[in-house]
Amino acid sequence: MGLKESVMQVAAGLFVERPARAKSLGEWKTTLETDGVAVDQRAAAAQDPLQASKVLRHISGIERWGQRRLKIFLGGPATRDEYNDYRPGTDLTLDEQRAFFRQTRAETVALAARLQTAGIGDDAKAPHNDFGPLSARGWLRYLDLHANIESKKIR
Amino acid sequence: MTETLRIFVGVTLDLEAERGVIGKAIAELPVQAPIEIRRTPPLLPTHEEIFERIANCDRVYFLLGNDITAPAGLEWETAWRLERAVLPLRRSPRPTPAAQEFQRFSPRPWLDFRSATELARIVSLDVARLLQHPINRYGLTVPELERLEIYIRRLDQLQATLDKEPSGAEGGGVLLDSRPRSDK
Repeated sequence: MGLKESVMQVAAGLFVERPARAKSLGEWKTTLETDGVAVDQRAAAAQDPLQASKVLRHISGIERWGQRRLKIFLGGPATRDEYNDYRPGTDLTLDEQRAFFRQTRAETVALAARLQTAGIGDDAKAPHNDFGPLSARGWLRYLDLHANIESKKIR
Repeated sequence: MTETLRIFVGVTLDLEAERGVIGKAIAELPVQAPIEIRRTPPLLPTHEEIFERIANCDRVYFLLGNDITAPAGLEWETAWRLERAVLPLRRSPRPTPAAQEFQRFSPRPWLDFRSATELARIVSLDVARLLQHPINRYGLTVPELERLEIYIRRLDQLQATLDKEPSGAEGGGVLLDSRPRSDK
């Protein structure tokens, strides 16, 4: 393991895995639902629709990419692909990007419910390209955190 | 849905008292807006705690005094890494070598303040402008928006007046009269 990988895994432990353990899978599901509404509402009140569309496109892309990793916990094939191809089109209006994000978030919430039903524990891991192996709760925390942080760029 | 304006204040140890100035300036805004002011926990904060407090902030005020001290350096680093909107403020009349070096790496120009009054004016104006969101993100009423507009105009005028005032030796009362004197 190289130095960068080591550093990133320490960062994942500090900022992703440890805070992830503060909530159960069911609680992460609720958090993702609540925070998803807040992200959508922030986009709805954007003073620059074009900039907001770009931010939402990035958030949705990362989230759909993350969903593929969440499916690994449910028996889906392992993958280490990049996120670029998961982004929605660049030609969507802000309203369309918002609709895409709402649908994406609903799918993440549904996946969280399936993970909860399946009783996935922290021993199971799926790889993150930068942070290394993350637990299911780690992935949910990561997707929630990423969307919350990025959405603050919407002015 | 009304949002809360989340503000993080990071300061070096010699400017710790300025936190109160910022809090008072915000409290004295002429509107009842949902504003949350955050800081790092005072005793042995962890990197994780600093991260959590900064991650979803709308604005970061960073106040640099004569020396860069912990945990301000980490707050600064975290805020920029998370691409938060940082306003670098400085009252550093006798900077240590470390502070001089630190200042050089700011991605945005430093805004100097010379007194608590000046800091309060800078922060008040900045927060007022953030609250004056075109789509009214912070849920202000029409009378509040009007009061905010008047408040901003007043602060702008005050700032313009101060900008015109001479400072340093220019304001020292020394008059240089080049006209020939009649008593020669």
